[in-house]
Amino acid sequence: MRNSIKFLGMALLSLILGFTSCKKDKTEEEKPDATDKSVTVSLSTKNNVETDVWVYYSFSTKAEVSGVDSTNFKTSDAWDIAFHSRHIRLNGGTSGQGLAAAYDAGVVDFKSVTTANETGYTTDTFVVDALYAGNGATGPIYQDTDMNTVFENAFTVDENTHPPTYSPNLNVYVMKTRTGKYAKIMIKDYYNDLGESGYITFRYQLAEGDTRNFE
Amino acid sequence: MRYLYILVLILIQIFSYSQNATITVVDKETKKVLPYVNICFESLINSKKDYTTTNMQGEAENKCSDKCVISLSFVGYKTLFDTLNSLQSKTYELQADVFNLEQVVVTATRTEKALKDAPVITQVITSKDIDNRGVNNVKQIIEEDIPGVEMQRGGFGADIKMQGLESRNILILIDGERIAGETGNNIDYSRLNASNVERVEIIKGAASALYGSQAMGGVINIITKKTRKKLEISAGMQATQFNEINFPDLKYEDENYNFKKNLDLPNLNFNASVGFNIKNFSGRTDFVAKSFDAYQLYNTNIVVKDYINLDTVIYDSLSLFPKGIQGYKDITISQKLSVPLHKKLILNMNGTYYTHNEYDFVPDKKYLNFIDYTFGGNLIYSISKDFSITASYHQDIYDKYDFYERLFEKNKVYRNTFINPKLVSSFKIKKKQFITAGFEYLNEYMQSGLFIADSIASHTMNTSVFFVQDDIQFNKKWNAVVGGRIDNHSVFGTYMSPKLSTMYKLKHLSFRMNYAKGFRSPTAKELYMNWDIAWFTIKGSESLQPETNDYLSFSTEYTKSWLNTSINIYKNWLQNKIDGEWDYSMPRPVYQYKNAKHVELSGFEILSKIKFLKHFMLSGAYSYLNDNRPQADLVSSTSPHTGNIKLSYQYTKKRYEINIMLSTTIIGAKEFDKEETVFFRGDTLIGTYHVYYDAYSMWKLVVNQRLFNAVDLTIGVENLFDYRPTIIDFNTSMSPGRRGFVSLKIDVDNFFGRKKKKKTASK
Repeated sequence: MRNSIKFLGMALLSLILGFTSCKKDKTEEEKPDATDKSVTVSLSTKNNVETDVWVYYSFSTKAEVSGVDSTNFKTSDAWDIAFHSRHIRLNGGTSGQGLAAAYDAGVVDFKSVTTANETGYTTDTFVVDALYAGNGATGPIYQDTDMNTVFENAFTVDENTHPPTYSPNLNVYVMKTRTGKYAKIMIKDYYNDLGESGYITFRYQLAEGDTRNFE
Repeated sequence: MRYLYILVLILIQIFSYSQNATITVVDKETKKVLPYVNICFESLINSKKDYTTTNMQGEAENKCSDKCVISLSFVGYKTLFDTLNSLQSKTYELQADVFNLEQVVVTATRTEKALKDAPVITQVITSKDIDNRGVNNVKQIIEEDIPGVEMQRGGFGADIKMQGLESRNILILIDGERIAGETGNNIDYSRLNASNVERVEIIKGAASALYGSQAMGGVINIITKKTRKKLEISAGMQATQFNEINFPDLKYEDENYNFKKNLDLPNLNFNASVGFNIKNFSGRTDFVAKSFDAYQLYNTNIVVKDYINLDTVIYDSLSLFPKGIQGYKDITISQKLSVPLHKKLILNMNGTYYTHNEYDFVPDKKYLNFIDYTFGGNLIYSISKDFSITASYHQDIYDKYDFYERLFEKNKVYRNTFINPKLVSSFKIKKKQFITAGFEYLNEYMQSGLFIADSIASHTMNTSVFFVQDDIQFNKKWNAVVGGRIDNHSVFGTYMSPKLSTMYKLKHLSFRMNYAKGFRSPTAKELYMNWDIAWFTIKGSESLQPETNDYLSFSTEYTKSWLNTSINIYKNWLQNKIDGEWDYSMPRPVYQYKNAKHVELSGFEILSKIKFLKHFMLSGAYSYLNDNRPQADLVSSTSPHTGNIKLSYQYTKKRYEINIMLSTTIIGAKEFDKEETVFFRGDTLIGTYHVYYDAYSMWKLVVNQRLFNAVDLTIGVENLFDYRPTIIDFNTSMSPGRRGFVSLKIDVDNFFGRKKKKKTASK
């Protein structure tokens, strides 16, 4: 009898512990690898408030760029990459005077992409009826815009939920920056830590100097 | 075996000679001794009364001082009367109450009545039904047992339907008290743990005269357990197969480890309870922890729309997006205490704490956390046998939080509170009339982000209530209950709801007639909501009036020793039903709440239970519904035909019991025409197409064994034939497919009892 009570007590205790301990399982990310030269950026500006508001980022200053908007982005040399909702624009092609272009290396481990291809890069184009800011008060709005279609598979969007659910596919994209240097980039998240949408997190790494090597 | 039985009897006899005269109570069929049987002795000489209960050996002292009338009663058995002399030893055999007709119920009249005497047909699910099936939530057992009840999934989650009415017209109570906290008008069903349920009572039809707002389509009253024995300790555990492993190769290094792990929780339920009862001073603590595995359902077939008016068929491509069913993890702790302050004065107190995490498939690093506290109690003053006053207080506070997984912080987004004091008096007049009257006050508070964009706002509503009910017993055959209620609501003013039910009994037949008015006050959301969701806005209206209904039903019940069957015919007229209507005149479409619809619902239900070949019971139910609403406008429609069939086998030996049950729930086909806007050959047109959902049945097989009268071991299979619809929406089943489960429950105190018995036997 005593044994069975003991057993029951243990079972109860382990269950309670099991239920409460889950809370602290994992709140911090693992220690960064010393050899890892990549940078993870969480943008602090919401990018899906209005259809023509993009969030611009520069690889040279490693920061969001202010003063660039829909009126002057095509002539500005202050930015490399820009984000609106799930869409991405690069400073090149129809979007800018830079050399930026990209290709999709697929859903692979970020580290496994060690060199950038020499060719096969796509620049920005003018897309009709593409832009969709589905969240918040604006509702779904389609608009013609300049963007890079290579990144269109960065997220899977489930429009059956309200609001739509954005799940990152974690593709690795290899790109040229505005100045023609090589970089690899992975789009990791659509939500900030408060669960608000339109806050992009991405991880990128620039190639050594002017080489195509990501070592 | 028989010799052993005789030996035990002899031992008991020998033992009993050393004491006074002994009464022994056993089960008529199994000859098992019955502990805790209530015995009442009433002297034939001076009408003096004395009470006792049998001990673990099923024995009690004969407390009769001269010639007595003795009555023996016990839950699940028919009450037995006899005359007895003092110092006479006797063994009584109690007959099991196969159809539970002696079961005491309270919902129909708010007073205690045997099921067979309740003037409104009441369906009861007992704790035995729950144990025999290893079920761990009340929602599931209601769905399986009660015809015409359908558990579906609306946009927000689970949705209950009864006789065609949605959850907002059905009132769910725990021990007669309202439950705070809703999502899309549905209470948080996860709060309804089965392990501490004594019984569930279901009445269909309007009952606002007793319960006020929302009791239009029916009342589900969950009665929780009280401790009867000196000491009760039990523990149980249930494990069900995973619904779906969403992330089979999840590694701890994964950045979204928490998010993914929370979507793959095991289907577990653990419960434990401790209770005591010493001379009516009693207490009980219940603990339940459970977790549920999230899963996704994919369409396996394409949607085909045959636009009749356009003479065109459109084949939609296969939807790539699944319907996600949230996972959860929660803990409930409840405490009860009953203190006899004085012979005539009893104080009951209770409180519960509940915390629930709900995990969805949106990778936004937050999940919902619900926290609920209830506390309350009552003071019962029994002035005389025929006159009592009860003062009670109940408070339920339900909060919703957004929990941010990475920040480990939470933010309150919702609060709903009910404060409900009551003063009720009941008294008898000349043993023919039983009057119950009382005052109630209900304060309802709702705080939510849905009232004003981007901020949390709150609204309070108050209701003062007077109600009265007269239960008149004209003669042995003829009973009528008349009652009414006046609600004074702080927003809508005064509202009256009368009711009348009568019952007439013939030898094997009972006839019942029930008329009642019901109403529902618009909720704070329906009044004040202004919520931008996706590409449209849901708007409330402050000019809304309460919805009302008139409900009329006739039923006939036929009972023989082996058969219990009833037919119930009803009609339900609803006025001013509140529903959303689309308004496309604005640039942004508005879904506006309006008192627009007059709805007529009618139907009938047939319920039968047949006991045969001693060990078998076959029960079946069929429900027909005629709903005049265009079904395409409903979020989910109800099939006109629903039913269930259950075949069970029970075999009992002294220390062993086996129950095998095969059951099915059948949902008939649904069909209706649906209209939608289509872009067709350059024009925007309204296309009409026919929607058809096949009938389906869900089967379940359960084998339950009870060993040593203390251990319940149950194994079972849900969705036995692995039914899965090929297209998933709000009108189809949300079952993850065939899943097995195993559960174990131990009544620890029954081991103690056994040990004691051995000792006395060895004397």
